[in-house]
Amino acid sequence: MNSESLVNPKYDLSIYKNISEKYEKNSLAYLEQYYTKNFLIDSNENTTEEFYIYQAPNKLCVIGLAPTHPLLLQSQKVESIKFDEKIFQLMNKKKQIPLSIKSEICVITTEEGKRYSIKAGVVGWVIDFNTRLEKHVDVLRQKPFTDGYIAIIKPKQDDSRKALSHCINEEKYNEISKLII
Amino acid sequence: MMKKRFWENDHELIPPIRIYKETDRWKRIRCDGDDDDDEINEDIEALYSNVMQHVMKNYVNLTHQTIVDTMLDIKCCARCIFRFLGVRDYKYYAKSEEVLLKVLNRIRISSSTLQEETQHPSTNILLFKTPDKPICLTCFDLLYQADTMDCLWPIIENFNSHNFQVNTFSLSISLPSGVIINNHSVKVYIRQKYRERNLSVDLSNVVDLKDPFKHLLGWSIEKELDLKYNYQSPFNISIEYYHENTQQNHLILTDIPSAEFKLKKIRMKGKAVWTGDSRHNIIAALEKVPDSDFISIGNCPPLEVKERWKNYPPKLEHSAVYVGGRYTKLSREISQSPWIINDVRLAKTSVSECIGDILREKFRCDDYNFAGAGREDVNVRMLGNGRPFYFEIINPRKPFLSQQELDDAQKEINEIQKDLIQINHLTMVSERDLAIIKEGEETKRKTYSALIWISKIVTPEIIDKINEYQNKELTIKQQTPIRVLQRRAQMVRPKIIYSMKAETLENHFLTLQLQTEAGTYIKEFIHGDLGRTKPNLGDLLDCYADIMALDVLEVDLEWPPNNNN
Repeated sequence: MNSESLVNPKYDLSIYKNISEKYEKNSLAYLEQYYTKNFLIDSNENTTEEFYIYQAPNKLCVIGLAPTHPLLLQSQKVESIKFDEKIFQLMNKKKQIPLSIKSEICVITTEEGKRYSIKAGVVGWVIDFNTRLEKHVDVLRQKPFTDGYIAIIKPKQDDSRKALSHCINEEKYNEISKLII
Repeated sequence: MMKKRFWENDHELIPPIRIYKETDRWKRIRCDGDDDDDEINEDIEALYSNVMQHVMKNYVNLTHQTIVDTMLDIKCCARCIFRFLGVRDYKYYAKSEEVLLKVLNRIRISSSTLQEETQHPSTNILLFKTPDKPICLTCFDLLYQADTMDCLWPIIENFNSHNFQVNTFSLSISLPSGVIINNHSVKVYIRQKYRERNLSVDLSNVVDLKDPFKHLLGWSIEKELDLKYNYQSPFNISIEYYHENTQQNHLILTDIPSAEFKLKKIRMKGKAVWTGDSRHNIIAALEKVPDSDFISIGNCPPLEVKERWKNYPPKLEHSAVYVGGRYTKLSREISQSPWIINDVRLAKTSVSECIGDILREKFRCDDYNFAGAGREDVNVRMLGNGRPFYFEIINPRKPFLSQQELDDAQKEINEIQKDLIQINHLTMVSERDLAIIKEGEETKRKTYSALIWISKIVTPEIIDKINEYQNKELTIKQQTPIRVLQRRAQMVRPKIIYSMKAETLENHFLTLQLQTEAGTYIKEFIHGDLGRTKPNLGDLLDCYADIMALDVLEVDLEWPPNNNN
């Protein structure tokens, strides 16, 4: 490298051509660089509450509403979002019992008075709630896959395949969601 | 954590060949600088009067004579008798056994009615060659041999096979624990002799074995290895001696109630270990024991010993030295320090190894530790004038490199690693300089260049929007990024972006130069980290943004310090 390129580096855009094409098709495609996408479809009960679980390379899981969640499908306006107070208070304290997949971590109420329960989705501990949503409830509907995530969970199981064995990958989710829509 | 390396584990040592004849192991190194020939003409009378000046300080009324007789009776070495007489000028200990025994016999005569030529009956047997001489009960011949090749060779061998390039040394000595009990026993025995004659003696001025031993050994090392003995020297020679026959002798204390000596059995790593028998505890226990108790249970005088002292391999160690400089990292594939998780290498090499492995050969050190003023991710290059760093060099055999040698090393590193890293300003730095690096990590501004994709087509308006901040500070709030949240506590950190300057490239791409406060997460400022960094670039431009490539251009820290000022 010469001294000019040390202070004023030039970038060869041809390397990024493929990425650029992908990004242009889907402006959220960049998330794939940072997360492995998983989906949780609740088919046991007579509900269609569906979540995404994005897993970062450090194993942390980001949970939020999947595109097929009724709140997003029907674009319902959110009235309030309430995080579970007990979980909130004990967050990041030592020696906590891990939450189960079905543990309720927060409740969303719509303006129409519908109530949606949000589950942990993975066995582990909530290490952060997206508290910004409390003040800006509509972000949940407007940017559900980025700023509108709900919580960050640290899985108990270190092996990701085991921790998320109850989830489906994006490909399968797309197949199933086509049927739903 | 990687296992600590040792130089000898991956380098061949060339041990020196012992050129000394077998009989020379016993011969004393004249560490006081005199020749053997001088000793024949030694003025015993003058020596005697000099030594007596020391003795008279400690023993009034000529009571010292009984000490000499008693210890010669049980065949202690002359040097140990000098210790019991309280002689603190260690140059006298360097004299030959023959001269010392002459002085001791002279002391006996001076205070008795004996005939002048009568020497103590043990004198001749004490002058036998070392292998045939009775072994001293109070030093196991350690002091007797302190200045002989037998004692010195393990140190010389280690020193020369590692080829330490040093000028000074300090000494750490650990003596056999049996020495404590035997010295006490001889003291009790001497007091008993006095009591038999209705006399008393104060033995509080007896010189501890360690003092003359360390002096004689130190002087011998000075002479044989051409080094200076300095207790503050960063180069330490540490050697532990043991004596198998007597190492359990202190256990008799458990049978003496007045000693209040208790051993505790504890479990360490699944093994039962006895504790409570530290040197300190043994000495404290002995002080509580009345002589009568000791005589009835212990051996007084001590039993004869059939074996001499032995030593564990000595440890020669130089304290750490530091070398500093700046590095540029030209590759997006190497990490700053070795990146190994669960024994799997995640980056082929690292800045630390590229530089350190070559420095290790130059300093011939066991291992090294790398520290940089901050760090960059694997896929981030470090350009400009580089990032300040230093290496801690662990136990160097060659602890100092001249500036010329460092320049050569730098050239070599730059040639070998030219596609990965380059270094500059490689310099020896002192330990107190290191705080500058830490400070740089926490307080200094950093300049970056980034290749950015945004979800809109880049227009002059977008460039202008960013360039509004070219001379205007922007304060952002960063929650701990998700990618480090598993190890760094959740927190909101306000950070200042001092300036931003964008240039259009094509379509969705632009380059961004930015200068930020230390500790700003740049990648998160660009893509927003799911809204955890606010505002982020996407917020400012009302679109999505992602970072394709990042380079650090400058770490604003003066380093290495210019020590000429």
